[in-house]
This record gives sequence, C-alpha cells and structure tokens, in this order.
Amino acid sequence: EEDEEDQFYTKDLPLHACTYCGIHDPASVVYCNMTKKWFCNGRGNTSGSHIINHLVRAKAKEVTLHKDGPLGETVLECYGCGCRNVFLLGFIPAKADSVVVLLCRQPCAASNNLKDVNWDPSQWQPLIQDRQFLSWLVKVPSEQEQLRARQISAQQINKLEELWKENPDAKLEDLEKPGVDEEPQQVLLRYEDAYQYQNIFGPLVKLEADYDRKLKESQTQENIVVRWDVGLNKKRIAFFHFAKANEEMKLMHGDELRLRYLGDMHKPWMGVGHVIKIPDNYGDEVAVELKSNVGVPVDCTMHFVVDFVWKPTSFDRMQAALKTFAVDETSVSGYIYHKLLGHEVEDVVIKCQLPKRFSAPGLPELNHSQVYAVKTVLQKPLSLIQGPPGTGKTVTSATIVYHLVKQTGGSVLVCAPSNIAVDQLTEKIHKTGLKVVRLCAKSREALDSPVSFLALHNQVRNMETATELQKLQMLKDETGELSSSDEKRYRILKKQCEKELLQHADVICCTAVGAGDPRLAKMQFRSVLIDESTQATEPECMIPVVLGCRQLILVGDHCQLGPVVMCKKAARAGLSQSLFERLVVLGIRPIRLQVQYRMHPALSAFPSNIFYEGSLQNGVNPVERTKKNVDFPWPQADKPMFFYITSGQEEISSSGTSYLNRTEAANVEKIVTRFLRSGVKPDQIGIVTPYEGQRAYLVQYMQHSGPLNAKLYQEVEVASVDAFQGREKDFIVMSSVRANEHQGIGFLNDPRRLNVALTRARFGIIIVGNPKVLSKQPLWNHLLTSYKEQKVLVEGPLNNLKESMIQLSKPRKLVN
Amino acid sequence: DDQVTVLTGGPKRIQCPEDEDFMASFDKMLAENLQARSQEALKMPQVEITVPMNIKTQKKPKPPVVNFLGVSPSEKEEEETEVDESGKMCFTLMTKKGNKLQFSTLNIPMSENFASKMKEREEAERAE
Ligand SMILES: [Zn+2]
Ligand SMILES: [Zn+2]
Ligand SMILES: [Zn+2]
Repeated sequence: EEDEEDQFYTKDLPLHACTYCGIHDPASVVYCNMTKKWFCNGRGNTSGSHIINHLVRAKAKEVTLHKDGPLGETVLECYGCGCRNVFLLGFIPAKADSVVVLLCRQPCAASNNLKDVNWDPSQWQPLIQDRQFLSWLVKVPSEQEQLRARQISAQQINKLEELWKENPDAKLEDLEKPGVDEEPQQVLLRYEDAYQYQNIFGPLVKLEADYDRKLKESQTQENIVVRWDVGLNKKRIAFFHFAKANEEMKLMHGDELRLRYLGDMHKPWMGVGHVIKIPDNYGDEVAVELKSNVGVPVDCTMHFVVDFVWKPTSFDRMQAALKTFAVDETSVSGYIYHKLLGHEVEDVVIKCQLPKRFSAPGLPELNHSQVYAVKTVLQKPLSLIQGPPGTGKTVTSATIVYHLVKQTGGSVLVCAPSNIAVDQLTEKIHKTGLKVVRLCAKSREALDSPVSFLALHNQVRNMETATELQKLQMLKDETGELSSSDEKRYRILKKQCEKELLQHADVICCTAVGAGDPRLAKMQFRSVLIDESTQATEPECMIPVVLGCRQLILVGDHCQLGPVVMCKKAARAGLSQSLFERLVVLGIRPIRLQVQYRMHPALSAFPSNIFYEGSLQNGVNPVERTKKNVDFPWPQADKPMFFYITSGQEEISSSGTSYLNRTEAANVEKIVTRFLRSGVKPDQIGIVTPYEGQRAYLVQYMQHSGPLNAKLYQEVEVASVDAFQGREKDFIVMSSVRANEHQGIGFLNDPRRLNVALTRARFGIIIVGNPKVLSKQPLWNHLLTSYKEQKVLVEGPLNNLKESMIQLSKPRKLVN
Repeated sequence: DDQVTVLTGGPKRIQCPEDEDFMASFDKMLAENLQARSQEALKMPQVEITVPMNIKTQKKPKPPVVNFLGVSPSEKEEEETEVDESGKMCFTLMTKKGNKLQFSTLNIPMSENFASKMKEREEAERAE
C-alpha cells in the first residue's frame, strides 16, 4: 500500500507547445508541416516570431493551424491554386462583403480573372508581415504570456536548429548539459525563466540524490543479531544493534530497512520494514517494524544482514515541482512567478477586510511586532517573516493561517521541512478551532505524536459515517490481513474517505516533501505558509508552492541553521541556500518579530547583538527567568551563565569518524548532577554536543558514573544542535568538544549553528570547552571576550569557580 | 485575477549577429521563393471566386461560428457589420477543404486598412 507512488504525478507541456518557448495557447501556435513541431507567433526577444524564426532556419514553408484555434485545423493554402508556401501567401478582401480569401502572390493574386466586381487584387497583402503571421490569423501571445514563457535567445535558437539537423528530438536543455566530471552550474540570484531555474536546480537535486543513494547503499551491515517482538498492532518488530554509527548517516524514524537471513536454520528470507526506534538515552537498539508477518524466521537470531532501502521519493517530488513550475502556468500566480525568479514587478496589494481583532481564538494575545506581521502578511501576495529564537513564530504563523482561512474561505496549505515543526504548528492551529488535517507519510503512520488524532489516517479510522470501512478496518486489525477482494474494497473506501476529509479541511498540514503526496496532487492551494523555510532547500520549498499558490508566506530565520545538504558539490554550488535567503538578498525585507519570551535577558544579549543587530527586545524579565529554590553556583548571581574551562584530550571515537572528549564529559556530568540535586527536572536539562561519538559516550558515562539514579540521567536529552533547533529547555549545557590545536573547531564554526546553540536555554546556559582553541575563531573570540568581560569565564572545581586569567587576543571586527 | 506588471516592461529585442542573420535569411528566402514562382510560369486555374449568397446576407455571425462545412448559416436580417468593443470587425474567411467550402470567423482589428474601408463603405451606403 505504501508504494503507490509509481503512478507519480508530473506535468508535461502539451504536444502543441512552442518548441522554443513553451507557449501553448492553441490560438497562438502553428504547426510546421515539415519538421512536425509547433511554434508560437510571439517574437520573444528576437526580430521575428518563433514560427518564422523556425521556418527560415529550417527552410520550411508549409504550416497548419491548431484544431482548437479560432480557425480550426486549417492548412494555409491558396484558394486559387492550392499553393501552400506561406512566404507567397496573402489575402484579399471582397469589395462589397466582409469576406476574405487566401491567395498566392504569383500567379493567383496577379491574375486577370480576379478583376471582376467582387475582388480587388490591389488590396492583396502577405500573411507574414514584419516577420510575424498577421495577428488576426494567428494570435500573438500577450506580453505577460511571453514574459512568463521560456526566454530563448537567437543564439540558442540557432544552436537548437543546428542540433535538430542531427537529432530531431533534441531539447533546449541538451545545449547546456554539463559533462559528468564538470562542476555543476552555480545557483543564481535571478533567473531568466523557470526553465533556467529548473536547469540549474535539477542537476543539483540529482547530485544530492545520487550522494544519498550511495551513502545509504554503503551502509549494509552483516552479522546482525536480532531480537524479535510483536507490536500492539500485531506486526513483527526486529530489535538489533547497529555496529557503526556513521556521523553523516542519520538513522531516522520512518527510514526503510531491509532484513535478510543468511543462516541455514531457515530457508532464505528477506523482509522490509520501517524504523520505529533509533539509538537514544533508553538504549542503543534500533527497532524495525516489518511490513509483512509472512514467513518471518522468528526462531532465528543470528546471521542477519541489514540494508538501507533507498527511496527516491523526496528527490522525485522536488524534480516534479521544478518541472511543474516551468511548464504549468497555473502552478503559481504571475506575481509569485516573477518575484521568485527575481524579476522586478510592480507591487500588488491584496484587497481584504482586515480583522478587527488580530489575535486568534485559543491562542495567546499578540504583541506589537506580531500584530504588525499578521496585518502586513494578510495584504501581501508574498511575505517573509523572520522569527528569531523565542519570538513566537509558531503562534504568529498559526494566527496568520486562522485569518487566511476566514478571509479566503479556501483551504490553506501549511508546511515545514521537519515533522516536529509541522506537529507544533498543527497543534497551535487546531487550538483556533479550524478544521485541520495532518497528512503524514505512510511510513510514519505508526509513529505517535501529540497531534496523532489529527492525522489523516486516524481521522479516516474515526469517521463514524464510514461504517463499511470501519468493519473492514476492524477485520484487518484483528487478523492482520484481508482477502484480496476485501483489501481492494478497503482501499477504495479508504481513498474516498481521505478525499472527503482533505476537501473539507480548512487547513492541511504536512512536511514540504509531504506536499508532493499523490493524495494532494489534484488539489489547489491559493494560500501557502511554510514555517522554518530557511531549513529547506529551494527545490524542497517549491513542492508546496507549485500547487497553485497565489499568496505565499515564508517563515524562518536565516540567522539560524540552514538546510542540510550532504553532497559537498551540490552544497558548494549553492543548494544549501534557502529560498528565503535568496529573496532577502534580492531585497525583500523580512518582517522581523522582535520580542523574545524565552531567554533570561542576560542570555539574549549576546545573540541579539551579534546576530540581530541588537534589535531583540526582552519580553521576560530576570525575575521571571530565575528558578526559585535552585541552588546553583553561578559565578555572577545576576547572570545564569558561564564558560567552564576544560582542557581535556580529544579522541577519535570507536566509530572512527567522530570526536569525543572524556574530561568534558566528566564535567558535563558534574554540572547535570548539580542541577538534578537542586531539584531541576531531568527533562528540563538539555545537553548539546556536536558529535555523535560524544553523544553516545555522554549518555553512557552519566548513567554509569553519575552518582544519582541512572533513570534520572536517562531523561536528560543529549543531542546535536540541529536536533534542538526550534525547541527550548530550562537549562542547556553545551559540550564544545574540539580541543585539538591543529584542527579547526569544525562543527561549531558555523555562526548560525552557534546562534541556535546559544538560544535554546530559558533559565541558564553553561558552555564547557577549551578557550585557547576556540578563541582562534573570530566569533568564538567575541563570545569568550564577552564572557570574560562579564566575569563568567571560569575554571576550577564546580563549588569553587574562579575567574580565569587567560589572555584572549583582541577580537577582530565581525563582518556578516 | 492574475494581473502582474513586470517593471522591466515587455519582451524586448536583443540585438545579436544571430538575429541579424535571421533577418537577412528571411529577406533572401522571400525573394528566392517569389523568383522561383515567377519562373515556373504557372497559370491561374480557371476558377471563379464567388461569394456565396448566404455569406453575403450574413453580416454578423453571433456567436462566432467556427468551421461549419457547407452548412448554410442561420437566416438573419441584413444588418450593418458592427464593430465590437475591442475595435474589431467580423469577417469571414473562405477556404476550401477538398471540394467543400469552409467558412470561419475572423475578428479583424479596425487598424487594418481593409476593415476600416469596409466600415466607411457601409456608412456611406447607409447615408444614401
Ligand atoms: Zn514561442
Ligand atoms: Zn495561387
Ligand atoms: Zn519575469
């Protein structure tokens, strides 16, 4: 059932589209009888219309009009002699009647026979004038249509015509195809047209897809020992350990793995399933729920092999979106089309009745900058909202969605790159009372989330009107499988229910890639909001956009983490720049939310100054952000922060690729223990660490060497910066790890990652690390200098912290 | 509702050698084709082009009729050929499809000489 995407939905230009520019209004196109290709009667940027350009270069002379044009399928020919050479054809009007006929210039129009009462040969005029067919014979596409079409130059036309002489099926893209070993073309700031856009991004998506596939395929692991179990849904679950955890290879919930049995205790077996558990604080085991229980060798535990099953789905959807953007002029409005390509367009104001109250029911009251954002966004077809950490981005987005639904009456598509972000937003939108459907990937349906009850598959299950479906569902749940006829009926009914729920929803929430789900393929969304859009690549962002968008709201923060692109070649070529960022560079000013409600003011000062030009205001005061009765040895009583100097040796972890630092781990444990002892709840402590090796080591170290109950440490979340983006904890302990004199600080070198790391904590932050190494990097130098000035750069035992006398070099001026 | 004003204006001609070559080739092709035609010494076939009566009476097909093959258009009172709001006038294009006559409606802009002449002529007739 999961693999129904074979019939994937992609748009193509109709066959009668102009082979040069893609225009395909039947009234505007002409068929070349010789080369069997269609061309339009627009000039684009050349001095003749496309059809004339072609006829001249191909030395072709005969044409046919389109059957759906005003004249129907007509071969242009002389009324007198049947000559079809369009270079000779013209027309004459009757003297007394509003009738015209086509006649060739020689001999028909010059003939004496015509000199009767009816016709006046002196009025003969050619059909091609000024290197274009007469506009009343073949419509000239409007300027707007021509600007929206592919922009082809005379040079390209020439080259293409040359190429056709050898290969009549050659495409314009073939002119620019880079060789295999060549560097891909860099992304641009502005694009001529959506074809150029597709031609640049398509190869980058391909590079990333190839990289991803190779990486996944190289992850096969042998000699796996399996422990079998059965889930609540009666499906078989395989538990096992993954020997090597590649730093790059992030195993995620919903990933598909293939299990193979190679031993001789059972006949050969192979089964596919989805990951439902990954290594975490509660254990390093991976759990895979198998799709089918048939023939599973549950008595065997040894001699298994695990492969990754690579899925091209997300990449296919990106490619499809790029194509749709190019060939389908209903995919986005003209305004959005030109804006996204970086063209200069006259501003458009959406006429709408602004609400009297900007705050939405069920959501917190908005502050000034949030109201301003909502108000501005509702009146614009394209807006960017920048939400620095803790500024109420999600509430603002949910409020906007609420008003969009009330205003347009249509359904709004809400996306984000990650499932967590989508769930958070779904939850908030649900609070406003709107009808929300959360569309999940089929591979994630088994996973629990706070908004599971809004998930489409669960809403279908709970639809009371669908009694026949419920019966079949019950049968399926009880027995695990249905007879093939029942299964068929079940799928039909399920599809019907899904369709009904989707069509009646006010809001549909899904990941950006999820917007390419075939279940949404036939739907149109006038309004689209993409949260955390700065974490998506451009092609990813385009998936929800091309579903008919007329009003687009991109929410994000280009000063926090950008999209993850694993292929270095593609990243270098610019795939790691988000659409939001490019639009900012193009001069679209984001509306910035300015009041932060997360951090103690002492914690927000540095990020505000360095990343937001000092514009962040504090919506909370120090008293509100001081935990009562928490006895912790902060070196400065009014500043719940410090840098804890640790100069331990860094080692390569057992997995061989990532780094760990035992001394740092020991210090982190001491800090955590101190917090726990003073009454801080373990789930309110977060440990940020850049490397998988350090994460695994820390988890294990705390549980084995920490003086408190291991269960307490188990509930302390230890994760990468990336995993913490979009979330918060009361206290953050950051293990910076790199202490090697000879290497850079790698992972934390990215200012945006540092910004995220520094802005997760509400009540206090402690950074553990080696200042000597870190201060070589200008940004860290600034941070350390700032900590030193505030007398919170400290060393010594935790209960007797002393200001460090370490000398830091003068920080250089930062250039953003 | 999808109106957009692109501030860089409409499509503009970009001058380049390839386009200059195209213009020259066009002129050459036109001249060559015409010359070849004159040398063929073709004779105009002896067909008289007459405007059928039913077309003569039908001045303003409404709604525009497309592609009716030999079917006589609906009876209508003789009325003046009108100019529509966009400044266009209805003409009929007479073509042959095999042995059959085919009539299609053309909207000719008044900027075309023959259309404005037709209009003048009609006005003069009416004044008589
Ligand atoms: Zn064209
Ligand atoms: Zn002729
Ligand atoms: Zn444009």
